[in-house]
Amino acid sequence: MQKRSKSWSVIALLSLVALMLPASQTVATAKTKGKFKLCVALGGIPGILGTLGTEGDPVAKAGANKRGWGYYEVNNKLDAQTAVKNADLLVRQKCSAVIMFNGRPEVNPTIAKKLSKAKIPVITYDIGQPGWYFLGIDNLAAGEAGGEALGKLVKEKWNCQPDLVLQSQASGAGIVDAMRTGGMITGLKKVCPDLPASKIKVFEGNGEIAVAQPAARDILAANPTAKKIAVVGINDAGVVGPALAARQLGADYDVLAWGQDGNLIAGDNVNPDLKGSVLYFLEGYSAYAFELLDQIAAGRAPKMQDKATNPAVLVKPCPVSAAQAKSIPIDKKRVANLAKNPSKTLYALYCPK
Amino acid sequence: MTIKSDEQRLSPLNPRRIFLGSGDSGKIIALLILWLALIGASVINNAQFFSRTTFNAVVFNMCILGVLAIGQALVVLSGGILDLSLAVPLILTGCLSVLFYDRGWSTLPLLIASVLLAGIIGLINAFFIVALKINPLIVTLGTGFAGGGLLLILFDRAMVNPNSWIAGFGTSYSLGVPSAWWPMVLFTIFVHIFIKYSRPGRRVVAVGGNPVAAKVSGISLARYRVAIFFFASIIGGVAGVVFAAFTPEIRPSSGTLFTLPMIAAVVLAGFSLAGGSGNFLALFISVGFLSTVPTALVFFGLESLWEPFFQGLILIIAVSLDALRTKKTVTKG
Repeated sequence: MQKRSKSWSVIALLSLVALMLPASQTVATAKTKGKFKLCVALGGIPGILGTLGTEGDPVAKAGANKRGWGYYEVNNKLDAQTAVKNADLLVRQKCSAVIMFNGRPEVNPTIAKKLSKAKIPVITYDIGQPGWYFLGIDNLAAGEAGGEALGKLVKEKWNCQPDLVLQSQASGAGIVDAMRTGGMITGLKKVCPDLPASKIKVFEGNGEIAVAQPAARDILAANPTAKKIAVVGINDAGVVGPALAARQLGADYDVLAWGQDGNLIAGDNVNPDLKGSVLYFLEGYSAYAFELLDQIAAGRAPKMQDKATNPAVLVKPCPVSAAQAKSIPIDKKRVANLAKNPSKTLYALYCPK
Repeated sequence: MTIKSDEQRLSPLNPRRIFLGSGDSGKIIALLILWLALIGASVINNAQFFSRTTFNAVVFNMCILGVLAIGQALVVLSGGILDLSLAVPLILTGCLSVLFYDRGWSTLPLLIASVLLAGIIGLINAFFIVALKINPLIVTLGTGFAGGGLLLILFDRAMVNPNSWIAGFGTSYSLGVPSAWWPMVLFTIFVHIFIKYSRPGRRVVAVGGNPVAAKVSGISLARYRVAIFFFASIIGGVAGVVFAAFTPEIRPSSGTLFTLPMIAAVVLAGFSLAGGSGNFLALFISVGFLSTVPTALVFFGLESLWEPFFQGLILIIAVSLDALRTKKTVTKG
């Protein structure tokens, strides 16, 4: 009788613990009974490979194949309506988990409702949505790494005495801008701590050459004695603009520009004005997603972390100089190689040590 | 003696008449005073404003805006109200010149083909405006959006080869000023003389100023309107070549940056939105003034974020002045 009451107590305790578990964990385990099926909703951005792009995600596919999972892909085509329709398709396909990139986040709450109703866990890349695991680049680390790398050049070449530091921000990007461009200044100051604030000129470059270039030209005109110019920014385009502006105004400028995102330094798009950049390897994000997917498939869904400030997985940024970037193959080759080695990441394969 | 001097004054070869035209000197002088006042205030605020670097910065600011404004001004002058799609030929030419360069085309065929293809946008506009008689604002707004969307689908972005002649053109100097400034200067002179002193030019003004009278006198309104929208797009295409020279990474969305300043330049120059009135030398000064504003703002310690505010403000003031001027003319008439 005593034994029976003891076992009832254990059952009651276990039930209580089960009830206290976060809803997401019970949601995630609900789909793991049959063969696990990984579904990917591509972003549909032209010119980018992997989940964000249009041509499929060979890394996610290879990882699923290696694990014996089913695999299914749809393309959101950068279109809100398509993304919502795709959500219905993913439900009908009985996906066990979804990797999502939707460049039209205004419909993400609608999609989230549909997928949550079907108890399908979602991993989202770079765009946060409550209830979806957030996977993205560590923007602050990216900023600081780029800033430190630039700082080393500034110290080596100018003994930490630049005439001007141009900070090309994109205020529309909000916290991402604060982490990346602000992080670059933090990183720069780690190497050159005595850099006076008066030498840092912040301006709106919007992450576009066409915006950053004329704005930087005007700042350079207003500082006619400044010739040793360091440039930081939210992305490569945001720092190439000011570097080009200096070249337009005269040959006597000496510019050290270090970007973010690696868009204009690696592969076949190398810009001569960049001294370096920080690569994120967007096309290889899915290699990181398996950290979460393996746990979901095993019925041990991880704790929900759905914000950029509290991410489930952070992708490690890789600072590279222009010289180092030459040895990094183009994105198609990188992805093909990663698909052959699905247990690795692009950082592990290509980031210079 | 008096007769001779009158003859000289009215002669088409009189340099004063060529550059000022008749009745526009007041506008030109007022704009010059405005521009000089801005320069003077900036110099008083910070003497370093008066420097070669500032001059070059302003000149670079003028290059793309100046060419685009000429295309826009032709549309306004001919009574086409406004062409809100000029950003499309700008980006299309930029992307096409990169595409053709990458395929090994030589300079001249590349330039001609990409600029002519940009002219297609103008022909599409003209078809809807002239054949279907739809409001030009609606048509060009539509082609602007549709064209921008299509460019995004087709190109995403175009990368200008840093070793190409286009990239070199964007940083080179000719006769002491940025090379990219010359297309604007040459276009201004050519279009000014064409409008003032050629028969087709004067007909463009007539079509815009008094279409009924123009039609009665045997001018084909349709033919002139088609031609103007076509040439406006061609000029937008030329601006696209300069844009490609400045911007190693061309994004389809970038063209819209010029829409507001381009309209502001045309209205500030005194081109009547009702058509039939305007001077291209005044337009040159207006572009110079608007290109000096962002540089001056930085010297006054204001962030570049203030630039759209001032551009919008200038546009509102200029449009109000235009409305007052039109009202005055109607009252007098």
